[in-house]
Amino acid sequence: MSVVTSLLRLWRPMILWFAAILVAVEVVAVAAISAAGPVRFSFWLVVAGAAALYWPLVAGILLVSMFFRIFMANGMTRHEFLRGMALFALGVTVVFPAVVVVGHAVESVVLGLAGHRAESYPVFRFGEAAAEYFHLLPATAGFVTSGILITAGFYRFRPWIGVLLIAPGSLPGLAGNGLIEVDDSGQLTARLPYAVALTVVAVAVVLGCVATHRLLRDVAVKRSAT
Amino acid sequence: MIEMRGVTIRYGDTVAVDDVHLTLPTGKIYGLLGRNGSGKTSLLSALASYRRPNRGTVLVDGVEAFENPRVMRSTVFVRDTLDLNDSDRVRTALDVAGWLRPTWDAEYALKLLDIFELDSRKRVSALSRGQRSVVGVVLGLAARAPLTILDESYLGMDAVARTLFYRELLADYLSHPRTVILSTHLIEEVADLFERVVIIDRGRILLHDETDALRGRGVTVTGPAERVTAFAAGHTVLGEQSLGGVRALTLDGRLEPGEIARGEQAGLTFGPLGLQDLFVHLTSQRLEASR
Repeated sequence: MSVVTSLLRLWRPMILWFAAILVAVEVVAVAAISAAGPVRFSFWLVVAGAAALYWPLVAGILLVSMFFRIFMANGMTRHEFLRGMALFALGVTVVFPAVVVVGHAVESVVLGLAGHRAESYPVFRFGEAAAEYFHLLPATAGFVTSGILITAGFYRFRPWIGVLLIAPGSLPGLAGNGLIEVDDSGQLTARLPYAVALTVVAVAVVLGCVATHRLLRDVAVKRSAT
Repeated sequence: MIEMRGVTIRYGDTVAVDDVHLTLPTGKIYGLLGRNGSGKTSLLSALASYRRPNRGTVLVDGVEAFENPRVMRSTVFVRDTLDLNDSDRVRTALDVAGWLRPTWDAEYALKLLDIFELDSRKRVSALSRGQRSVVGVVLGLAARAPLTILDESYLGMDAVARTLFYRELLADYLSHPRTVILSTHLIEEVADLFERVVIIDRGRILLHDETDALRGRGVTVTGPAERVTAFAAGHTVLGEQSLGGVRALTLDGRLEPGEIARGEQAGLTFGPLGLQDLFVHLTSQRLEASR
């Protein structure tokens, strides 16, 4: 079985629990909010939009700290693990924003059918789905890259060097979230022309991937998580 | 054939493994002996590609081992600290090994858990030190990897568990021959398993030989204290033990048949060299004794 397939099997329970909690929180919170009157904002964009940043960050941290030595101990090479981790991170980057967009669509339709949408609610429109997706994707990519890179720094070096590397390691995430975002009112924002902002984020992510490769390609397998 | 060519491992200014050249024919059980901090784990880490040597190379069947998928797949390295997450269940650890290791024997792994009476539903964090070692032994043996490296895998195991471990190791080795490297401090307890012994001290290989040849390097003389002392005159003494009026001395070198016959006539008994005595003699300057 490949590294990425094994990672998916290992993560499946975590993903299912996380999804269940996210959906439960959404249902309970939106029901409570709509009981007080028409809903003025997308709760899903607030919760899942934030999760699309921080869950990939945590996933990136865990990929290195929890799983690197397990795969090494089971006969994988560092490069095989890095490839599998890259594919898994790519999957997170591609799927998570899609989940946010689909969830927004479902929330919008359900509230519309129930007549609980206020004027200010960011109504989901199929024509804008792609734009919403591509405004979420850069930040997700940036955060998962930062999670992996920062943890790789701690894994490779002593803790105080790892601390020093947090700043450069967080650049992909900061670039992704700082330049392109979707807020809870559904507003799509790019602080530079979108193509330029996307290019900056892409460069930061690629540099983060290269740095991760340099850090882990011949790192000693430690006894502890970091 | 497993070869280490000029392998050096440093941690800052500390040299853990110092220019080691070592050739290990495959299909044998090796004992790796060394004092604390002698470089055993660093040497094994290099063998298992867990650590890239600062200098030198490790070759397995003539090809560089580091980052070689074929070599990695055929190597299992069980450290005294398990390479598992505390939150994992034992069953998950076995499942992952089954997914990734082509030679994994799931049925044998379950049999071993049964033998050691370990519940696979337990989390690693809930295991005692000895039970963690059992998990390591199960992962190491059931991997059936052509190169199996067990680094002090007995830590915390009680006498029964250790006996079961040695028995299972030998039985599985005989039914599935492979290269096994055991690092241990319990020398006499495991000595009968070793076909060859490697002794490392201060990062350098002191000795690498067949166990039988090592045992033949010396002799243990036991008998009344004054007669044993008189007999040992002129010989290098590797170790000594006394109980009441009885004394046992371990002497370096072979004895002539005539010497042994004279000793036996004087009421002395002769036995093979204890591996531990040889180890202590070779690795301890303070205990070095001579007549």
